[in-house]
Amino acid sequence: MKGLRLLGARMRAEENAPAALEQRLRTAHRKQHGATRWWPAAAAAVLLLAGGWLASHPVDEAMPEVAFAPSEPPRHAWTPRRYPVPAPRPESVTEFYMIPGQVWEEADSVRLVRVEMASDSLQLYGLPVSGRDAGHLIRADLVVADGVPRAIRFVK
Amino acid sequence: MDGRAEETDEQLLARSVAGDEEAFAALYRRRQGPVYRYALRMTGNPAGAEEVTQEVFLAVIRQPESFDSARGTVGSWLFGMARKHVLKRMEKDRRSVPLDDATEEEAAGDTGVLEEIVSEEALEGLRRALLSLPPRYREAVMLCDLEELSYEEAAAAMGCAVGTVRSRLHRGRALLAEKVRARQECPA
Repeated sequence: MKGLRLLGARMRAEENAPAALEQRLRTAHRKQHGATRWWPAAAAAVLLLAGGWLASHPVDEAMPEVAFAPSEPPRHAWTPRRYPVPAPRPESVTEFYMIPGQVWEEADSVRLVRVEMASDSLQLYGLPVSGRDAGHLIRADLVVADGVPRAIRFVK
Repeated sequence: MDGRAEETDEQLLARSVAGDEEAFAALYRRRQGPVYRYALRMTGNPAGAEEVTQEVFLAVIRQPESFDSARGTVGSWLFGMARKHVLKRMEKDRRSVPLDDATEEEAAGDTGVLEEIVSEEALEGLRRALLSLPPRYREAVMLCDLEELSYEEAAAAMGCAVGTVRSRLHRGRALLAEKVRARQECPA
C-alpha cells in the first residue's frame, strides 16, 4: 500500500499534539507527585488549627459518617468461654476540613484513609508544637481523591 | 546522548510512576504523535484530538495501575484509552457511526489504485477519503497502515480479535480504494 505508507510518513512528520500540551501535562505530573510529598505538612498545619478549635469547642458525639465495620469473628469447632466485654465507645470525629491549597474537584477515585500521625512530626515541617502536645499520636481520616489528600477530619 | 531514548516504554512508565517528570516527558514525546493523529482522524477536529490526547496522558499520570503488561504493550494501552475517549465524544456528538456497528459494507477487493498514489494532490485525496470511511474501518487502516501497529497491537487497542482487525483492514482498504477511484473519475 504505497499510497498509505506515503500518507503515514507525511502525517508523522506534520501532525503532532500542540507543544503547550506537554507543559500542561508536566504541571499535572508535578502536582500529582509533588502533592504526595507536601501533604503531611499541610495536614499538620490543619492539625494545629483544628487542635485549637477542639480545645474550645465540644466534639460531636454522633457516630462518624463512614464507620469501619469489624471483621467477622473466625469460626471455631469449640465454643470459647464468654466474658463480659465492655461495649466499644462511640467514636467522636470533627467535621472535614479542606487541606490548605486543595479544592473540591471532580475525581475518578475517592478513598477515605485513616492515619495516625505523631504530633512531634509537625516540627519536621517547621511548625510549632507545644510541650503539652509533644509525643502524642493523632488519629485522622483523610479524603484522598485521585491519590491526592484533599480534606481531613480528626478522631478523638 | 540521552539514555532515555534507549529505555522501553515500560521502563519510562515505571519511572514516571515513581515521580520522575523527565521520564514522563520522554514517554509523552515518544507516544503523543500516534495518539494525537489517531484521535485527529477519528474525531475529525484538532481541538477534539488535543482533548483526547490530554485525557490519555492524564490517565498515565493518575491511573498508571490500569496498565497491564499481560494484556498488551504500553502503546496499545494508550490507543485503547484514546479509543474510549473518542467513543465518548462520538456518543456525545451523536453524529458519527458507532465503531462497533455490526453492519458491514461490501466493497470491491481491488486496492491497486492505492499503490499508484504519488502526487501531492492524490495524497490529499487519499487523506480526505480516509476521513470519509466508516469509523470502524478508518481506525483499522489508521492503526495498521498509517501508524504501523502489528495486528496483535491493533487488536489489543481496539479490544477485539486479531481476525476482526484483519477483516476490517481488508474491507477498509477496499472501501478506500473505491472512494479514491470515484474521486479520480469524478473530481469535485
